Amino acid sequence: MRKLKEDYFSSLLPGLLHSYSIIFFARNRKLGILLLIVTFFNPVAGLSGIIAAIVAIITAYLMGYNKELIRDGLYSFNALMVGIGLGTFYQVSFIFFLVLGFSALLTFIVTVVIAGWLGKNKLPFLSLPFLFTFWLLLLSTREFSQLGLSERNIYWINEMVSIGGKPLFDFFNVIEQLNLPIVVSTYFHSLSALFFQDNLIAGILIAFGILYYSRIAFSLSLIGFFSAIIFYHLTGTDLSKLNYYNLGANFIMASMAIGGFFTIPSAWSYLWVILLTPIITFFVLGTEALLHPYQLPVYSLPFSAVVIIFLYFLSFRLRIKKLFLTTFQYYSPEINLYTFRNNLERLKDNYYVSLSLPFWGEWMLSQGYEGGITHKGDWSKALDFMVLDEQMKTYSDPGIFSEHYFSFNKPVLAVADGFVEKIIDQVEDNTIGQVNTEQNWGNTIVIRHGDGLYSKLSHLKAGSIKIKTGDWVQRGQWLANVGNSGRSPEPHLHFQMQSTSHIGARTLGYPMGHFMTRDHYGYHLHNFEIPEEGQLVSNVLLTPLLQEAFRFQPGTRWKYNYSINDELITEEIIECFTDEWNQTYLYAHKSKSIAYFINNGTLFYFTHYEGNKMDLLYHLYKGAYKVLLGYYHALILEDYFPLHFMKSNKFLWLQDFIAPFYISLKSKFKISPSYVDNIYQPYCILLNSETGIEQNKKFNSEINYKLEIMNGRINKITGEGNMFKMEAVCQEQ
Amino acid sequence: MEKLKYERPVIKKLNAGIMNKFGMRTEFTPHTHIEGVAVKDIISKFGSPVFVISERQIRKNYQQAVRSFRTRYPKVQFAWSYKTNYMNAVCKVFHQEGSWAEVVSGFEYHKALGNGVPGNKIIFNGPDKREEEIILAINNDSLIHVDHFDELFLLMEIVEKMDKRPRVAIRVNMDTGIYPMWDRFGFNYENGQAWNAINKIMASEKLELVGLHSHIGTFMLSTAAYAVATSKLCDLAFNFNKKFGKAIQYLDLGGGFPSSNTLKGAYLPGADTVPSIDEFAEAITSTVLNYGFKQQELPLLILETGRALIDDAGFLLGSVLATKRLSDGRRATILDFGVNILFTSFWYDHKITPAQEFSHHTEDMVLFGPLCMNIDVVRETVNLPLLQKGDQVVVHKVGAYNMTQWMQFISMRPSIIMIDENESMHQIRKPETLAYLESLENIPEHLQQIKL
Repeated sequence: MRKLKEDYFSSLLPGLLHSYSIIFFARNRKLGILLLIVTFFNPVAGLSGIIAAIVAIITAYLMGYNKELIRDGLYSFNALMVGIGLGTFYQVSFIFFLVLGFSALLTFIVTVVIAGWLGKNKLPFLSLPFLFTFWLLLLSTREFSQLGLSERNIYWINEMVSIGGKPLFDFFNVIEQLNLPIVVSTYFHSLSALFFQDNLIAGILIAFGILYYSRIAFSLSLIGFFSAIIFYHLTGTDLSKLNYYNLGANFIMASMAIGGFFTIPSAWSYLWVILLTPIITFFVLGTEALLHPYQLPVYSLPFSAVVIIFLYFLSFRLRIKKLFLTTFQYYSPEINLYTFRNNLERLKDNYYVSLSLPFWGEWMLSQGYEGGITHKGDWSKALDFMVLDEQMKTYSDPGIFSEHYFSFNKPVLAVADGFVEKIIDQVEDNTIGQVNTEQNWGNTIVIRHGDGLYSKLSHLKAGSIKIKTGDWVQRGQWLANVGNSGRSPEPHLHFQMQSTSHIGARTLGYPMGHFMTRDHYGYHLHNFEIPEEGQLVSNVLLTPLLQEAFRFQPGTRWKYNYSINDELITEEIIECFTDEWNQTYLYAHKSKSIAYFINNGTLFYFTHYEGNKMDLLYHLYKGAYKVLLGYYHALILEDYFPLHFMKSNKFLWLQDFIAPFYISLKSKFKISPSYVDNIYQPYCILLNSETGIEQNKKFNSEINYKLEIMNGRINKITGEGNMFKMEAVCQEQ
Repeated sequence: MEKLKYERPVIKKLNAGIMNKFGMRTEFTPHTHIEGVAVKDIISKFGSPVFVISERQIRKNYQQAVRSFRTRYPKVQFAWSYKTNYMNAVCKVFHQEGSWAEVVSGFEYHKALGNGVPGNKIIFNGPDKREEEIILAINNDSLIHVDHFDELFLLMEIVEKMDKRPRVAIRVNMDTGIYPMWDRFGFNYENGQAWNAINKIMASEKLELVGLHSHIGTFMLSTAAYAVATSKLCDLAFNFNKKFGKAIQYLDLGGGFPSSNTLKGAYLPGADTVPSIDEFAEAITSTVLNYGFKQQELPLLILETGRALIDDAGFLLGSVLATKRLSDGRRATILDFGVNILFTSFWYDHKITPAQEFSHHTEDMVLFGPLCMNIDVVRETVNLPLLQKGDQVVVHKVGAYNMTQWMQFISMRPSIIMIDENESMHQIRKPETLAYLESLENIPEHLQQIKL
């Protein structure tokens, strides 16, 4: 029973509300409630809609379907549409409810089947289940003599007066007679037609709801609407063919789906919305002609067909540089866009194998990509490393033997895990100044890190190779020593990535995972970049305490005393989990918020947060958004949050409108370590981080966080902002 | 044309024996400037004699040593050996570069604290640690390197009364194949004393064993000895891991790397025979890396190198007081500094160069200091150009031990100058004065009045 109650609040009730909002691609309860109210402008339709949705949800729940899909309303919105449709067109009677119940059931079954069928190609089912069921009902109910057609939809004013009396009628009258420009009122009527209504107020409310939940969706609805009007006008098509339903359900919805929901909103997606308008028109007129003999309206068939076809069409592209498909759906164009932009910059872990530098200590990149000396043509994407002294000399006097060179005989390490593919170990080291062009690469190791990804280390010291072909080596493992063999006038290390194991293969441009550079300002962290010639580079030195504190193992729990403004709020328990896609996240047991994170061994960073912005986990997410797991004193790391995490700001709404084209606001994160007691075996480390808004390169701080890392965990986190103070202290682990 | 300098006549025996491989002429060129500052300017400003330290050379030495190790091994830390030169300015250069402090007495410990070194970055070595000093070190979370069982027992006694778990290491002595074997410090490896000490520490549970330390000798000319020492420490660390299931956090190989000074009695000059830090680094790091530690469990390497980092950054400038002919016909030159401030002249044949132009004529001579003591000999025999009263000389590679082991004997200790990287001079220690010396003295009442 407790389980049922829990499920009721976690999936069933939200599922019902989301059934409404998902029609506009939103997972938003407030929008859901608003739309629910709008459906009750026609009370019978509203009632039958809600009944149908409930039937679908309960069936799905009892039969054990995915609770998350139930919660998102994906199983029930088609049933809802069918319910509203039936309630609009038929008279209420016992037989009506019977038909309604079974129609809902049928819609649900068809939903699951079509979803399964299209899902294999990662395509949405949209309103296909509704269309299928509703047409079937229209065709079959002609035989049900007990089921009468309703006239309420025609005489809806009578209906309204009978419910709300004269005042309601007057109110409606005032609105209806506002003398809105014809285009504007058409727009609102079109929106209301989605719920089979012809009602200005309903349209205004719906438009308001869309605007509230997404500025991008709202502007797309306008673009879809106006391009349809303009196209009809240009082609001289009979405007009477363009009824409210077609405008609303087909052009507006297709515009929102393609421009901002299934693709990441961008100038390209907006352009495609306009380009697709004529195509939708062909579908509208064509299918109308096709279905006419059966006396079936086309409803939202053109919308569903065009969107599905277009998405399938997009999915075959090979080089995707524009018009990205939404891979993870947050049910908000803004969140999709901001998260996508943010991830593009941050989540390079997903695209590259993280390579470390093949040595210990600090070396100089003496020749980089396209280096003028030997890194040319097919072999241009290679790196040469050397050790230099403070005078930028590579040797100590007199420099006539290899032994005088700082690089000589230094350990060479594996850049990543892999199998040793090829080894050459018999080439004698050259005397200084001589080169061996016969055996160009000298002593060489090739390691396979994955399909089509090999690393090659060359000019190694004769006889220094410590591994055999076929060995498994780990990142950082000592493989050999730097030598002076092959085409090498003085000892140095040549490193390149390539896509075949062949020695002498052409090079492959590939970034190094994480590395540090040093100049007179201090250290700088580079993530997935290609080092540049002349840079002093070193691997990131990791700090055991930071590694331990951020190595969140699934199943570990931390108990925190959480207080805001010196008032104890709660004892929050945070636990680490992994989901079925092997993604790790933190879950707060009391507030039920979730924060996804990645720890790649060098960097820890949060990728996504879901939950309330007052929770402890939210502050943990913001305060430890990105942490370098090595202590570099006062090294500032910067990063950006997806913009929707910003505290609401008067500019944010404006920003949302133009976001697909230009982003001027940034929600910024900075962190720097300020204290460590002992760098090698630290017991306590302090990190200071700051979040705020960056606009036109000006940074306005919002909250300053202090993280105290002790006892192998985040022991304490404090945050201070304007009129705000939070503190959380770890009680036990 | 400038007037030619007068040079006294000299009679030289014609030596028709085997040719000296270093040629007939002097190996010296005048050393007129130190780090771009003229020797005569330094002496005219700060007097003679005077010690000069080159900050640039210290940093260069340090960075070179660090680079030698860090390009061979992932975790290396240097700790500045205070006894080698504990002028605060010198220590601070090392600390600025990132070096910890290695001290061997309570006095040095306080000096390190005073220099701003955090307690947990001080290594407390040496056989003489007093109870109150140990308590201070525990409270500061310093690394205490235990030298003998009596100290270990004292430490355990102290810890009983405290609510702290001090971090300790043991000093291990061992046979590394060199003579003399330093076995007076720490616990012996071969006879099992070291293992015994480890077990006692682990049994006490109040102490945290974090490291193993060895210091196999001083001015070591063999890198192989370090490889042996490293391998024996690794062996202890390995067995420790096996028995107690914990990793030893660090191996401290101590100091002992030589500078390029020439030891007395050596046939060839030090610069040609002494192994470089690179070679020591190679011996030590390859031993640890090949020992078979897991990559993540490689211990931190700590080095307490002193001499090799500071010796060639120190110069002593002095002047000729007089020259005379000894009874056996040898030429003697009396300088204004002697063994009182150049203590290392007991160990090395210091390189000494005149600071002004000279002709190619040279003469064998004895260099005496200014003391009224027969032992005050700076060089027993050295071939130098013809020096005369007032000439200035530069003694090279005097940075280690002289400024800590010098004596206030017969004369005062001179000032110390540091030349920074921008070639400006800083007096980092003033010359001693009579008042300074007497400030600690007390004269009993009945001795106040004297009448002669």
